[in-house]
Amino acid sequence: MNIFKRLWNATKKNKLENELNAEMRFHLEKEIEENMARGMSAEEARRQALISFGGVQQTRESLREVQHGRFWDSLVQDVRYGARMLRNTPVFTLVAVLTLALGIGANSAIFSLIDAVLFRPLPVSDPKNLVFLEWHSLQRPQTHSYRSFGDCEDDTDGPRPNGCSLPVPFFRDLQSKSGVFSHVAAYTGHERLDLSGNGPARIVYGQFVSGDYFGTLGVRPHRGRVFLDNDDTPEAPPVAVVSYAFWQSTFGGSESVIGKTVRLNGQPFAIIGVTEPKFEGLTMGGRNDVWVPLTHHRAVVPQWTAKQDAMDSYWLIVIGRVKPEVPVTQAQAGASLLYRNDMLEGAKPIFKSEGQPEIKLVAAQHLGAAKDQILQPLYILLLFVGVVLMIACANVAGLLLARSAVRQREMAVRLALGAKRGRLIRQLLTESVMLSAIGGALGLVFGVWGVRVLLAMVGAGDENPPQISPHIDWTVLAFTAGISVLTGIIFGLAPAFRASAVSLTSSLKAGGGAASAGAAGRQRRFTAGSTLVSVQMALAILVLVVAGLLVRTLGNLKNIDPGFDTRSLLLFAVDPRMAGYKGAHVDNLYHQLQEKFAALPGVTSASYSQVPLLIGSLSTTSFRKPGTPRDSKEEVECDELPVGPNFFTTLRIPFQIGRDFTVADFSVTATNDSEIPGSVPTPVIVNQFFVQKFLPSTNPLGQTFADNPIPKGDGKKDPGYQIVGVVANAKYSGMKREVHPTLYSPNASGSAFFELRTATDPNALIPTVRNLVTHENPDLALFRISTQIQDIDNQMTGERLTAQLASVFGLLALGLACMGLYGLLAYEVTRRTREIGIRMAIGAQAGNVIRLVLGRTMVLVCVGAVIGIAGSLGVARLLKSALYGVKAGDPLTLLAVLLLLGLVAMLACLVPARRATKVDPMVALRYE
Amino acid sequence: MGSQIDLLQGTLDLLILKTLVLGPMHGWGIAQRIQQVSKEVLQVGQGSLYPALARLEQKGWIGAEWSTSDNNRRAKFYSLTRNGVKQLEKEMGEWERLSAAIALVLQQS
Repeated sequence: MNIFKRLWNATKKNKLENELNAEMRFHLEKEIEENMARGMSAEEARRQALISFGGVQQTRESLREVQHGRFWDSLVQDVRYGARMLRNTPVFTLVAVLTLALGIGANSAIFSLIDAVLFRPLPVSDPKNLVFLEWHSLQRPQTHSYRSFGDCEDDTDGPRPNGCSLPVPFFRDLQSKSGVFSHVAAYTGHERLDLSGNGPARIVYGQFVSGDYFGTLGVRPHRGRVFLDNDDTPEAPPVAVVSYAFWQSTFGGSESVIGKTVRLNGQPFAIIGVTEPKFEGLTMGGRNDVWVPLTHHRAVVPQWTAKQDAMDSYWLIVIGRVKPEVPVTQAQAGASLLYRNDMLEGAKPIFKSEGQPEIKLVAAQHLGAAKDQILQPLYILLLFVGVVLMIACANVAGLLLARSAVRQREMAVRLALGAKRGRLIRQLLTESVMLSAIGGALGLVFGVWGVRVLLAMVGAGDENPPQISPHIDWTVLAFTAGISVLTGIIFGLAPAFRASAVSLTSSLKAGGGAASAGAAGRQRRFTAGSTLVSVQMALAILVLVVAGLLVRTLGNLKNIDPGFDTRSLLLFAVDPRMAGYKGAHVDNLYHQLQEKFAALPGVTSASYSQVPLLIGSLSTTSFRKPGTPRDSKEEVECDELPVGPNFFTTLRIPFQIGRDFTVADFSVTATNDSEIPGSVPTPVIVNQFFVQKFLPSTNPLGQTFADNPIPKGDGKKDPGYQIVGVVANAKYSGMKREVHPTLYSPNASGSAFFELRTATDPNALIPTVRNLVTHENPDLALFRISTQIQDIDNQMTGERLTAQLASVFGLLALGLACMGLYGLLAYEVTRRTREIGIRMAIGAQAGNVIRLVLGRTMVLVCVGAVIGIAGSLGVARLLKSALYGVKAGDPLTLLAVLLLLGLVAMLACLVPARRATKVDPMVALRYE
Repeated sequence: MGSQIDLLQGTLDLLILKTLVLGPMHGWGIAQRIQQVSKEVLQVGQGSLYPALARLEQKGWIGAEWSTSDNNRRAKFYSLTRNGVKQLEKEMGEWERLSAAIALVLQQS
């Protein structure tokens, strides 16, 4: 029968019931009439009619079964009965529900995070058909410059280069020629900008966007207006749009913001609008404060000197909406054709034709290279919580098994009364799914709370935390509901089969219930219970070992010696180019500031470098191998870091031989970096590893080597490099990365991050430093302020989070497994009370009894431990990339875990074992 | 009442369908009719009659309608549907084959 009809019937139950009664009454009345017609008295007629009518209630039942369907009706019955059973055993219910809630909640929490990252809702209208263009090729593109801002994982050097930065002419062609898009727009940056003209100068983040950027996205203004096509023309007045959050935080949500003029890197812009509150940019992890038309990029970011309109300058992210009537494959082919044409047929081809350049259209949802970085630890954690849930299942299954002994008589009675075995199994499964459903509901609460805690842990101390906003949506709800039901069936199935397989006669005959259940049944039940104990132990060990390895990884990372003193080091940046400084004035300002900072009270010494250490930034350079003839073609590569005066003293990187840079060294470098290089080689300081690798047997001081490639013969000479000093090895971009041969040069690059060695707490100096900078020039903004220790911690956020959560889940797993162990033993002791009593009566000592109770369990624990260790070896190998300095079979971790587990398992056994020895033979024998 | 025979499983459906060929009838009428025609051999208790009616109704072989019976009392009248007529033909065919087969076996011995 149609399932909907049944459900329908079930909903209009009352009406059916009334009709049924009416029909029955009619039948009875006719029967009475008939009987009276045969000559019976009224009373006799009624009596006879009722006799022949039979059981009214039974008829009703069977009619209902036909009408509502057996399934729904008996489901309601099962649920009602299950609820009664759960209410009758509150302690069991509480323990089981809490166990399941922890297991399911942990899964929901991690899943909601993954869901938020993977299926991030885009803050635009109709996000489904919004795409961005990604180029693919088999060849490295011959670009003059390539800029990207983390919108996707650009890979220009790999075997299959790809990326999402594209040149301006291609974007213009796409706009005018392609015909497959209804809208095309482009943007660049998450660019750091100096905003002045509204109180003290400050750093904001902004994007340069084409005129129809907001139109393409369908983002509407909250106040004022957004850009139109003609705002993005060189002759249009310079205008800007700010984000809602920025409007609130910086302008206090004031209406007068519209029309207000601010300066971005010194250029004036009139604010014309505020975006909708939800929109802060397309890319995950990039929150923007301000948007400016693309045409102003050159004026605002003059330090980027590439030819911005050239075909070989890749720097725009291109987004578009495919026309509704055009299939995506066709749009992709159209864009590819245009791309190939532009790249291969121009005056200066970017690819050779065998490079097969093409364009792929990717859903805009996938913008954001940070995604994978965030996802990896989440997947590890999902594995963890999955195992925790399995342990929780095993645990509740154990509890149910123990309880099935108690319910054996009930089952026997129900079987004897004619219940089918399938029906009993269904009843028991309904109960377990009810348990897991309640656990799931509670777990969702735990999960919501857990996610808040998680995010607080991730976001702590992060300047620009990843924008993940998990919420309970249908996906998460469906996931939780799904695992709840699955969980209920998984842990309920075995106990249900076991419980319903009772031998009728023995169960009914034995009055005492549990203790004297059939011998065969007891043996089998014990086997099931003990398998569960082994499984739980194995899983707990698996989780604990992996957690241990992750904790050890974190410890190893923390104990890495970076080669310099990371304590009391204040880091910050100032970029005078944003305040309009140009050419030599930039480096002059750095020198002046460095001297002023060094003279501040509380500052021991001060310096700067092109990028700070240990924050992930890295630049490398290649040159002709030192010690080889000048015309040799052998090139080598090393890390390169341009630094300011006193850099090594400030960071406390010891000199081995040679000297630090002098003022003269900086001017030599400035000359060599300019259009007309001088003839004096650039003085450089190298690290010890550089000497070991490239100049092992000579005195490195005074050695010169040539640049690579040697500037082509347009009259430029290569002054080359000369080594003036050697310093000890120090880490560069991160703690995890090994020290490479490193070359330090005098910084004349125009970019500087300051390092201040302080005598006291570095944070206390921030206001003084800020004052000094503002005093120097009010348009100068201080940014990226941190201490070296904070930077190192931030770099380890992922590792720390994974290790901490893994430990929490590991301990949770251990706790659950031990609860399971305790439960089994306690049950075992109760069940064998009589046996123990008899043994004690005939002279068994406490030791014998303990051995009797614990012996087998200990074997089980050991079996579980062995399986768990074997499993952990495999899993740890899978996680190799997440480990540092420890191997899968790390003996210390294994030993620690086994010790911990042994200890806790002993504790779990102690109480039941003691109870066993306290059994009074007389009481035990009288027990039944 | 004479000796009664328990109905074979499934045969009640056939009898109800056959009875309804005469026209719409309420539950009690159907039971009475079967009883009379079988000369009181087949007794149909309400305990099996109403579930059977409900089942046939669910299958769409008979329809039901409340209307007024004699003495102006409301009763639920059942009638054959087109599907029911087809089903009746099918079941009668099957029954004849079955009884013929049983008869054959019984005559053999």
